[in-house]
Amino acid sequence: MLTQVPVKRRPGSGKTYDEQITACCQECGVGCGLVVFRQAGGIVDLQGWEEHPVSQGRLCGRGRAFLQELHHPRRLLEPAWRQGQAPGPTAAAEWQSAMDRLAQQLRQVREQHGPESLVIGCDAEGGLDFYIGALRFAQLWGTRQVLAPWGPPHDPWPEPWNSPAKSCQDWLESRCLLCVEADLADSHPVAWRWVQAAQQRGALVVALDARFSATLAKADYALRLQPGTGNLVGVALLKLLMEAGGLDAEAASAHFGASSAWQTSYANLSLAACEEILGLTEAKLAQLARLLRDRGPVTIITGRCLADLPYHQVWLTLALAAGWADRPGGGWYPLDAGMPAWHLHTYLKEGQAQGERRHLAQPHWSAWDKEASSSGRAILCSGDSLASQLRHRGLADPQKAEIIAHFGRLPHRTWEMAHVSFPALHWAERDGLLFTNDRGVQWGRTLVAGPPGCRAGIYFWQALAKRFGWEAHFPWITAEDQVDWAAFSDWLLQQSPLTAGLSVAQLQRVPVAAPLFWPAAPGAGGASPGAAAAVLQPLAAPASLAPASAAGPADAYPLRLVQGPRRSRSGWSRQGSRQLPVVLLHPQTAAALGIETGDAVWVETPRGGGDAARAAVSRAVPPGCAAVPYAGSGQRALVSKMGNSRAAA
Amino acid sequence: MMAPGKRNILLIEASRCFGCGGCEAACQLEHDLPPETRCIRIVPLGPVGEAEEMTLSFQPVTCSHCEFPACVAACPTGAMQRGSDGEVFSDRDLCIGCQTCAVACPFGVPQLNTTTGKIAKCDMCRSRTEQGLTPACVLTCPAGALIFAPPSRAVQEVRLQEALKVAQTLATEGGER
Repeated sequence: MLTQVPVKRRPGSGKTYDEQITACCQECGVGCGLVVFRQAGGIVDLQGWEEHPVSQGRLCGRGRAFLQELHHPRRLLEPAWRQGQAPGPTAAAEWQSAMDRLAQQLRQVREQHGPESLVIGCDAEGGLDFYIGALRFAQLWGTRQVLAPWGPPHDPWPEPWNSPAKSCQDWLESRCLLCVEADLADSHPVAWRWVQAAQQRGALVVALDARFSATLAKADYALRLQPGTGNLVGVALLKLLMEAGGLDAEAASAHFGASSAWQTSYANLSLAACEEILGLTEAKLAQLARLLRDRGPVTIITGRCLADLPYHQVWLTLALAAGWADRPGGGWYPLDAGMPAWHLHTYLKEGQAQGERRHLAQPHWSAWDKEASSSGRAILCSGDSLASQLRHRGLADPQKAEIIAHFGRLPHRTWEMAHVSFPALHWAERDGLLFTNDRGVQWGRTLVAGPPGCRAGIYFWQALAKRFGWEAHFPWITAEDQVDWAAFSDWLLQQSPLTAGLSVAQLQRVPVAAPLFWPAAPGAGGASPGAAAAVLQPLAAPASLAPASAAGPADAYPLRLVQGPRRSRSGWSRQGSRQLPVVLLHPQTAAALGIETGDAVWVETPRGGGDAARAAVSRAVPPGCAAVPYAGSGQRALVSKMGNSRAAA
Repeated sequence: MMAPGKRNILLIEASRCFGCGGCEAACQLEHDLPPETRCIRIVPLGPVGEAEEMTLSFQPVTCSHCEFPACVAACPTGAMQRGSDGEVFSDRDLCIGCQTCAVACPFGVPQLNTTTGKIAKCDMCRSRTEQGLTPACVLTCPAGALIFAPPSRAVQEVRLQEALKVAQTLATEGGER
């Protein structure tokens, strides 16, 4: 019997410290365990926590480098207003006076241009509480335009979605892992190590992506797709798997009921143009379908970018219809979907008269009214969300905005465009909830005290709402001007039936290594032991395979965007020099555009969006495509060298 | 060739590396280095080839801790030294930041730490290993690509893992899983 005893790891800190505490990393949805070594209230060292079931002492670059951001020399420490023509707000101000002036300007914009002229951008730098506060403020204000990485997917998550929550460890039971436009090796390295562990146990790793990513490089079987067609590949696979006899009739009828109309829709689907649309021949897809049939149970891991495209639910239909989700080592693992859908609008009625109720559902950003959003005269945004998300997608135009308010920690490009800036606390400097990809929820405790001038996102919205008489809707700020995190988190957990059975007191009692999971209450939308599974509506096949996101004229916007590597570490050096995002171009494409590695370029999209970037030539990107870190996969784009006219490009 | 009495080596099994940069960040945090100074760095090799032949690999690169280090011979102040475990390190108190070692090193390993004006290079986490702790980069690596162990044990680790991989594949094909 061949056994392996790994080399003994000897963890610990070589530095002098007073105490060590365990915590959970909140940089992404993997939720790695941390051991934080503190001395005199400050963090002196950081290690992975060996006993943590997911990370087992390992950390990625991002999980270590957040400390550099806490003590960054250019960290924003006090509110400021823009002064003259210099980029960014630099004239220091008091929180209250800066907020008064912001509220006054917002009031003017609202009077002149109406409530829909407000656009809000959220990102991880602002935190979950900034997003929740933004949703509530948007309801009160009357705008639907709130963009966030946790925002609704293109097609709503299936409700009730009762596929069991499976963690990364379950991948060890899998015989095949199918990664679709999910570059785990780059974006979630600690989760990727479970893929590698499964691979070592004999599981086959199949990766599909438009870009030749690190995940494709490490996969056993790698296929290149056309950009933005990941979900359509799922549709084609489901059809071919059905034809190859790979579906489990019993599981399908248990999950989807007796109706077979959905199966007929797949039977009628033509794959004649699949090579042109998907970049894969029908024969190759059929080969993949047979492989999946023979290697089940399969765990399907899909990237977040697929949630922004139609037919995302095909992966759930596939996992259930093939019977994979019912077996250990099988199912669907949508990355960065580890948060329940909040029903904040339902609860807006607290403290309001009946007639004042609002019910504004937040639509997916692709359904935003382009005219209303791009003519947004007031933009409130956290982190770098204006430059990298709103402007890039054509959802807001900083040139037209009369007031841009920034809430963040570092002077990003968004800060440079802002009229006023408010300094934000880091997640390590405040309490809060952490939602992990495998539907775990944990209490994230404060690791270190934040700078005195910095505040949490929910404080920002409460302070602003107070100026409009809406403070009753933000009851979580104490008389001492502090956030009552327990009250806020308890309230938030009640805003979804999936987490309503949880409380902060409960979460505080459980150890970091054993998070609680949701759905939390029997019958709250999740599978409860002994109860019959709820019948789900399977995704019917579309009439034809046609990519939905190729909007825009091909002659004016000849390139297609793909998701680029999200180098997980901050692009900030300690000296404070800001780095532009990197756009990857194939050597042929770069030569045709006259672009070389290192050139400053402008990436423009048909919705009127654009962003500056630094070019890098790489074969990882297919010809005719450009890879950017925050791409809307499949979108059309034009990349031109700075200083060149559009016609030249 | 190993120095007699050498207790531990840092073995890099590059085929496991997937380029996350965890080792770089851990090293910078441990030694308080600015982000542009990396005593261990990951060099992506590729993508090279076309279509289905395309490959991309990652090579973690750090000091080789040479048997006869040119940097030690070149250092004018004696700051660059070779420790009892074979680790080559720079004594900060003696270093004057002249970068002669950087010129002498055939691999360009020593770098100037712009914050301190002194040379920064991998010292195999002497301050940690002296306390019996594993070097920071090894401890953090999610891929398990870095192994810190006595020479024979480190080699055995890699060989066993490869053998296990073959055994698992054969067992899977034989339907034994």
